[in-house]
Amino acid sequence: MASHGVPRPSSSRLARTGQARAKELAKIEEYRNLVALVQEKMVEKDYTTATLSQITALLTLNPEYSTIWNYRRLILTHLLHSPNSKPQPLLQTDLKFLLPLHLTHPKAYTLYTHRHWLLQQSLLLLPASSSLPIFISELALCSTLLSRDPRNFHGWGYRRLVSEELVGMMREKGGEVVEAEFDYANRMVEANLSNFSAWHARAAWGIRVLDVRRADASERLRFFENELSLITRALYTDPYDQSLWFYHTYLLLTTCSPKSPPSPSPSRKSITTLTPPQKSHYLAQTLATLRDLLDSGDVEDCKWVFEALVVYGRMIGRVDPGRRDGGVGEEEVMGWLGKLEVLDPLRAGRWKDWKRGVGVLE
Amino acid sequence: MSLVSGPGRGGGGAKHDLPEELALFVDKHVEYIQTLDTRRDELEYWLTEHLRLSGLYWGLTALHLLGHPEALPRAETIAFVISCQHENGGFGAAPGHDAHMLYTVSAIQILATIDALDELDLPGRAGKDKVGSFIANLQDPETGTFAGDEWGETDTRFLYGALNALSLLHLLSLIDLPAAVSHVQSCANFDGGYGVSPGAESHAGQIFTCVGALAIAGRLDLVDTDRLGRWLSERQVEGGGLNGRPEKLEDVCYSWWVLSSLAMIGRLHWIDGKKLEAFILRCQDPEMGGIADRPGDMVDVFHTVFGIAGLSLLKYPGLEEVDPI
Ligand SMILES: [Zn+2]
Repeated sequence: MASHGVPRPSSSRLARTGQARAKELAKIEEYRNLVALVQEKMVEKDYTTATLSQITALLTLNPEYSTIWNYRRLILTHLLHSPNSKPQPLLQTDLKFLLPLHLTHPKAYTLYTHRHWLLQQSLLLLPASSSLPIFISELALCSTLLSRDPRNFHGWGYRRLVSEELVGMMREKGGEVVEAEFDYANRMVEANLSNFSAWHARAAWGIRVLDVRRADASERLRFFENELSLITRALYTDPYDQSLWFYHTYLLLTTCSPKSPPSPSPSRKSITTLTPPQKSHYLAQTLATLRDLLDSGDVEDCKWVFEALVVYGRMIGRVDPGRRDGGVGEEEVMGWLGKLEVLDPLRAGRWKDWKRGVGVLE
Repeated sequence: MSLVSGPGRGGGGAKHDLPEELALFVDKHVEYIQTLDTRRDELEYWLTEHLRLSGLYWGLTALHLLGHPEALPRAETIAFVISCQHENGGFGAAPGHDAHMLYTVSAIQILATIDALDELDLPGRAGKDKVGSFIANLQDPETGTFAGDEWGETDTRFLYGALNALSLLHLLSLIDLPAAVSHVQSCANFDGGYGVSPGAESHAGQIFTCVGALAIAGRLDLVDTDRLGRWLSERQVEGGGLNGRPEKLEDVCYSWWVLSSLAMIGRLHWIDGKKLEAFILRCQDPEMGGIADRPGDMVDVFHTVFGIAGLSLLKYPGLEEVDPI
């Protein structure tokens, strides 16, 4: 891919000495010769372990060369289906070959594509008793990658792919995978509260956990209350962390909005379905918390508190217009919006729209 | 067009301080792009060959936006594109590379940019219909999503690419558009954003592809504009640049994905355009040309085009207008 975060000293020809240049030219020649050799072998359909090891050498030099990965799969397919083939060691050797490349190229799409292909082959060619341990050890690999970079988008994506397959493979015990993934997301959240990837996973698996547990209405409500008190405590720890606010918004918008329960999209399902008085109750509780946070005195410059006050202050009147205390007055909401304009000028256009009642979260 | 990075650096490295009020160094960028393909004596030139056709699209688009469409010779551009085509109609990144959705889309985008799509139908060539069917055959009839090639990896990037290329070819009728739309919907998250597949975390690049696909399909009504607008506008950080996910560093390419998505949903005014403009300008190398992901890093053609496209969307004077989709 393009250079991301590459502050390295330029390796450009401007900076190269004669010796370095000669060395680079030699490397280019070596690389291009290897490419030519592999291409020749492929034209000749020389699908042998010898070609495979030349491909290994080439991919080690350049793990993002997708066509060469295609060649690798062509040869592997040939070897996997030849007489006397031993699929299991072949597949496992290839998974092992990928390992160091993942560590040096954690963002290469090609590596995950190939891994996924190997897993699919294991499902096709191995008995369930042999493919299952492979899938389980894949989760361990994901954990390693995510411990090195807890936001690695590819790592989370691949983890989701593997665990979804595992849910199916485990049949009636699939629920254990769901519980384990929910736990994993929770541990990642605890390790670093500002890891939004982990919060996202927590939200996604949380919904699934309730289904697996066949939770009834009261269990769902308890789960919701538990999440709400957890995120509230976290907000007291770091009210400036937007990851926390996004999770907070998720919890409240999917349950307490006049629009909830929301669309049927699986990732937008809500934890529980609340009645209008219940919605009003939790919104009032949230507003009280936010006011308390403000009164604590340390967060007067924290725009997130004011944003939340505006959103839920407006919402409470909409979900239950008959509230005795009349919800929150328009004047107060305008005051908070005025604060937002001062504290967060980058998004002045949004606050201006919100003042007109346009585009407010609901 | 080579994806080889450098030689310059955003902000010009430590050698000199940039003035507060920066301009766009149009001539430097044109020259930078023109010389990219001459750097065959650098190993990186060869290691990035698998991106070449996309690199050409990025370089060409940058030149068009800069008002120098003639800076790359038209006939050679067409010849290179055609040399990447396979019998099945698809295109590889360079001659000898397998056909893939990403490069097929780049090929169509290049030919459309220089008004040369009819070249596909010349005698002896595969023809537009064959390109269209290569793309259409990669749609999964069950889920509506698209694979990148015969090996089956799926990603909303491929779905967007398919819709983009087919709409340029006027061949959208070849696919099941409602199924593609419902796949995009299944990738939607509670924050209004979209992920790479159902259940995946929202990500600015994926939001661009999903919103872009819905725009092409005429279904922007399905976007939760208020939630997505909030998420996208929160990508802007103090320095003026935009990041791709919460709590990540700002980056010129993400600035483009976020900015164009905001434009598509009519919320461009929800961020500070002037500050973003200044951030992008700070990522230029004023001497050797090119734009980096952020000040101090190496420049490359990928960030150069997205930086210039961002400036164009922000109505920076002197640039051709860019289509956010
Ligand atoms: Zn970037």
